[in-house]
Amino acid sequence: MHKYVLKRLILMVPIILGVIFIVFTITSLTPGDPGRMMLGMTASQEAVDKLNEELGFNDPYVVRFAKYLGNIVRGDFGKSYKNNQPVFDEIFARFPTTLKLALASITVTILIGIPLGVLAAVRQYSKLDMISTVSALFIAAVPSFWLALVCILAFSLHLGWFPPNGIGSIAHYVMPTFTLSVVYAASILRMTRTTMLESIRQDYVRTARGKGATPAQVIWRHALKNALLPVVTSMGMSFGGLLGGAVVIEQVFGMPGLGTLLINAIKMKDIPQVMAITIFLATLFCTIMLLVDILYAFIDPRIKARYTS
Amino acid sequence: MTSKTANWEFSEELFEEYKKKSQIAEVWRRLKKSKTAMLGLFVLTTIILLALFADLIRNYQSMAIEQNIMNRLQSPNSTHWFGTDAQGRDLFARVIHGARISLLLGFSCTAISVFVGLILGSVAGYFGGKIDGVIMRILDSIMSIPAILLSLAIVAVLGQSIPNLIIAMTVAYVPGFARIVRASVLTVIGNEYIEAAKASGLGTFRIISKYVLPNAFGPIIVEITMSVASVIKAVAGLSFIGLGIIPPTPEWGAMLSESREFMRYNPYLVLYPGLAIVLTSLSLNLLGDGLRDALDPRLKD
Amino acid sequence: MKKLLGAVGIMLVLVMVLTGCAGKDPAQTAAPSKSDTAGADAPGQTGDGRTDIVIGMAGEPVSVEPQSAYDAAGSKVVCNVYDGLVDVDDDNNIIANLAKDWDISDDGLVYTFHLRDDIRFHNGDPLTAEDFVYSIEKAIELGYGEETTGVIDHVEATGEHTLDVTLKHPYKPMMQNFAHSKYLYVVNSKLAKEAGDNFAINPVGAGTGPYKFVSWTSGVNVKLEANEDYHRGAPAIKEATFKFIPEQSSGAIALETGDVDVYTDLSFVDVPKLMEKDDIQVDVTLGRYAYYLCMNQTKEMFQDIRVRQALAYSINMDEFILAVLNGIGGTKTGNVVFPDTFGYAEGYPPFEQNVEEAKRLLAEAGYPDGISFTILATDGLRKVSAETLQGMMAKSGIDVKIDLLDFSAMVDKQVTDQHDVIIMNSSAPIEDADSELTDKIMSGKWGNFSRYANPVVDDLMVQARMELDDAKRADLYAQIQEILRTELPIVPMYYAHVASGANANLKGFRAWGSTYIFLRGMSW
Repeated sequence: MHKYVLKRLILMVPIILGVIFIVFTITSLTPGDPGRMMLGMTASQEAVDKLNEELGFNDPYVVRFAKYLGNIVRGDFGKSYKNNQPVFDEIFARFPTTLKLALASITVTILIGIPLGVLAAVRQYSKLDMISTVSALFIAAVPSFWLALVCILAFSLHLGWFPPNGIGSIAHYVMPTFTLSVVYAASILRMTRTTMLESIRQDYVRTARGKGATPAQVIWRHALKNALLPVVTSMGMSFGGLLGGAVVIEQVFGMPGLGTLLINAIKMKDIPQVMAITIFLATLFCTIMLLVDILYAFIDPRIKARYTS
Repeated sequence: MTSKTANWEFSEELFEEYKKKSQIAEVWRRLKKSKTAMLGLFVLTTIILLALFADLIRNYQSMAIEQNIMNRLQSPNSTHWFGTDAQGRDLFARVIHGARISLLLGFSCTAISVFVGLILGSVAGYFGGKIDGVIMRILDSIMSIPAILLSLAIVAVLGQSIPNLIIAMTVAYVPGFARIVRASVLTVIGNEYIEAAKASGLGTFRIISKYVLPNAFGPIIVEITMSVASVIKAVAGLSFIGLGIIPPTPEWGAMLSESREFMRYNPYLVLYPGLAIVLTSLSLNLLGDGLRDALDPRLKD
Repeated sequence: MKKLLGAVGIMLVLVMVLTGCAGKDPAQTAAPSKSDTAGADAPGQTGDGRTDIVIGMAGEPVSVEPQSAYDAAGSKVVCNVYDGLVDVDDDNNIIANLAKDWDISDDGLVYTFHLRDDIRFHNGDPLTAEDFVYSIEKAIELGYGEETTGVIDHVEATGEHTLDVTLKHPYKPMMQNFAHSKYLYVVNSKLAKEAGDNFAINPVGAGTGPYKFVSWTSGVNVKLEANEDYHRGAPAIKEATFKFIPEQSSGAIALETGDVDVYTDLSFVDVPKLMEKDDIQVDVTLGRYAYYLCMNQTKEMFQDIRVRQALAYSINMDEFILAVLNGIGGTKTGNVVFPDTFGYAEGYPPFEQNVEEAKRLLAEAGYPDGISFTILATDGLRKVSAETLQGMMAKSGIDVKIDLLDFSAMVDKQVTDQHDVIIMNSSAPIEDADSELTDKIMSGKWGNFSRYANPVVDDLMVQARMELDDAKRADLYAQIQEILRTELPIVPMYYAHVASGANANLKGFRAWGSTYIFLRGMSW
C-alpha cells in the first residue's frame, strides 16, 4: 500500500511541474508591462524600464522560468503587483471562503445525488426515476451563473429571503451553495443511477438475494458498495470542479473568495497573483485526486492486491 | 464492438460495409426509440434552423444591432416578442442571432478539440512508451487546472476576440477527447485485425485512421454532443464576467451580463438569453444521453 | 460500506487539515468571525441610539495610505482617517485645521504653516512638521497626485511645528489643494517608515483624523472607529464599516434590506425606484468628473479639425445619457470646465446631433465615404458607452470598432499611443479651471491622450496659473476655452452625476461629488 501511495505521490511531481510550466508560459505571453503594473500608470517610462531590468523581466524566457522555479522551491511565489504583499497572504485570506463554499456544496451534492440516484435505479422506470432523471438532465443544462441570477431575482429581490451579496452569515452561503451543488448533484445522480443499475445485475447481488438477504440489505450493503466506486472518483473530480466553478459564482454573489481574487488579478494583470492561485488550485486538485485514488485503492481489492504483496 | 466478431478475416471492404450499414443503422434504430433523444434532436434542429435563417426572421443590422434608444426597455409585446434591451434593440432578434455565435463557437471549438484530441490520443495510445508518458503528463497537467480558469487566463493574455476565445476553449477541451481516443485505441490495439493490417504492410497513419479510430467513434460522438453544450455554457460564462465577446455582437452570456443591472425591473432581459442557453444545452444533453444508450445497449433494461 | 465511510471520513479530515494548516495565521485575522460581522451587518430598523454605521461602496481600496489611495474606494476611507493642513467651510472658504495659521510670501512661492502643537496621531505620537515633510515628499515620489503635488518644489521643516512648502511657480489655487487633496494629508512618518510596504494596507495608528483605522479584511470590509480625542470634537458615529459591494444592483438591495446604512455608488437604474421609498433617502449630485472624447492627434485623421467636429456632431447626447445613464446620470455639456468652477466661461452650449453636418464635414475633410477607427474600452461603463457611440456614429458614416481590454492593457495602449479614440474621465480635485484643464489639454501631460499640443494654449495655461490677480486669471481661462471650442482637441460629453442612498434616519448625509464621504458630520 505504501508503495502505491508513494508511486502516486511521485507521479504528482511532473504534473505540478507541468502546471507551473503551462501557467508560466501563458502569463509570460501577456502583452502588459510588469514594471508599469508595479509602478502605476503615471510612472515615467525610464523608471519602468529600470525596474524591468532590475527584476529580470528582460531576461530570456528560460532564465526567467528557471528563476521562478528556484523561487518556488524556496517557497517564494513573489509579490502582488497590486499591493506589493506576498501573494500567498491574499490567497490564505481568501481561501477559507472558497473552501467553505466548496465543502458545503460537495456535502449537499452527495446528500442529494447519491440517495436519489440509488432510488432511481432501484425503482427504474418509476415516476420517481422519470422525474429525477429528467430534472437532472434539465439542471445539467442550466449554466450555474444564470441559475445564480435567477435565484437572486427570485429569493433576494422578490421574496427577500437571502442576501444577494457578500459573506458573514450562513444565509449568505445558501444561494451560492445551492447554485453550485445542484449542477453537480445532477451529474452524481445520473452516475449513481447508471452504476447502480449495472451493479444490481451483477452475479453477487443475485447471489446475495438468493441467500435470503432483504432487498434493503442487498441494495444498500452489496450493490451500492460496488456502484459507489466510480462515483467516488467523480466526486473527487467534482470537488476540483467546484473549486474552479466557484470562480464565476463567487463573482455573481460578490463573495471574497479565490475566484473573485483571481478574476480581479487577471483583469489587473497581476501576474504573480494569477500564477500563485492557479498553481495553488491545481495542486489542491491533484492532492484531492490522490486522496480519492488512495481511497479507491483501499476499497478496490484488485489494486490493493497488486501492491500489498 | 466490431472486434468481438469471431473468426475475423481481414477485409477492408467488409470492415467498411459492416461499419456503415449495420452499426450506424442499428444505433439510429435504437436512438429512434428514445423519446427524450428524439425530443432533443427536434429542439436542436429547430435551434439550428433558427440560427441559419435568423436573417430572414429578424434583420441582423436593423433589429439586432441598430440602437433605437427611445424604444428602450420595452416589455415583451407583439412587435418585440422578447421585449427590447437598454439600447432599444429587439431582444428576440438578438437571441436568435446569438444562437449563431453560440452554436458556431460550440461546434467549432469541439471540432478543433476533437481533431487535436484524435491526433494526440491516437499517437499516445498507438505508440505507448515515452511518447505516451509525455503526452499524458502534459494533458494531466492541463486537466488539473480548472477549465474555466485556464480559458480565463488564455483569453486575458491573448486579448478578447472570437478566435482567441476558440483557442482558449480548445486548450481546455483537448485533454478530455485525447483521453477517450487513447482509451479506445488501447482496447483495440492488440486485436487481430490490427495485427492483420500491420502484417499486410499498411502504414501507421493508415492503420490508425482506418482501423483504430473508428472504434473510438461511439464514445467520441457522445462526448461531442456533451462538449458542445458545455462549450456553449463556458463561453457564456466567460463573456458574462466580461471576457471574450466584443460589442455589439449578440452573445447570450454577454447579453446576460449587460442586463444584470436591469434584471430587477426588467426580468425578461435575463430570462430569454438564459433560457436559450438552457434549451440548447438541454437538447444536446438529451441527444447525447440517447446516443450513449444507443451505442451501449447494455444499459437499456 | 463501513470501510468506505471511514475512508470518506479520513479524506474529509485530511482535506480539512490540509486546508486548515494552509489557512492558519493570516486567515485567522482575515476571516471575519461570525459575531463581529453579524453585529455590524444587521443594523436595526430605526436609527435611535445607534452609534455605528455600515457604508457600502462599489470597490475595494487599492490602498488606505493617503499618498497612494488613488481610487474612489480608497479615498472614502482615507478622508476619514487622515487630516490636512487646512480645510474648507461650507462655502469653500479656507479654514484652519492642523495648521493654526499660515503665511504666503509676497511672490506667492513660499507657504509657511504653523502647526498646532497639541495634535497627536492615533497611536499617541505627537504630530510634527517632519511628518508633513515625509508625507508630502512621499506623495511627490509616488506621483499619483501629480496634478496637486507637481507644483511643489520642496518641503522643509523649519521648526518642530513650522513647515515651509516652496512652489515651483506662483499658484493661486494652492490653498484649495492643501484643503482638498488627500495626497497632502499627513501620516505618522515613524510608523510609515517602520512598516514599509505593509503600511499601505495596515496603517494602524498613523492618522490624525476623526476616525482610527482598525482593520482591512481582504475582499470584505475596512473597519474604523471614532477618534475620541479628535481635535475638532469626537464624531457622533463611533464605529464605521466600509463594506465592498461591487455589484451596484446588490448595493441597492443591501440598502433596502438594511444590510448597509449607506450605499455610495448607486446605479442610476435603481435611483428612481429607491426615491419612491420612504425609509431611504437618495441624493444625486454633480460629480467632479467630466467625460469627454480623446481623439489621438498623432494619427493623421484626427489632426483635421473637421474630423473632430464631425465626431462631436455625430453624438446625440440626450439619447446617450438615456441609454448609458438611465437619463439621470449625467448633464450634457459643451465645456469640460464645471459651471461652479473658478475660470468657467459661459457661452459654449452642448453640441447637438447633426448627421448631415457631420457627413458634410467628413466629406470636406476628404472622407466622403466616412471614416473608421477603434475605441478602447474596458468592461462596464466604458463598454456600454463605446457601444452606444458606435451605434450613433454609424449614422454619420463613422465606423467604430471596439477594442475590449482589461484596464491595464488599455492603459498600456494609451501610454504607448496605440489608441485612436478613448472615452476619458478625468477628475478635478479642486474647483479651479487650472485643475480641470491642465491634464486634459496641456502638451506633455500624462492625461492628455488627445496628444493635443498647441503652444498658444500651453502658454496661456502657464500664464494663468502664475497669475495672482483673479480677474486676469479668469480672462486667460476664457481665452483658453474659446480656443478649445474652435479647435476642439477633445469633445466634451457630459458632467457625471453621483448617486448615493442612505437610511432615511441618518442625519447629515449627502452625496459628495468628489470621491469622498465625510462621516464626521453624520449622526442618527
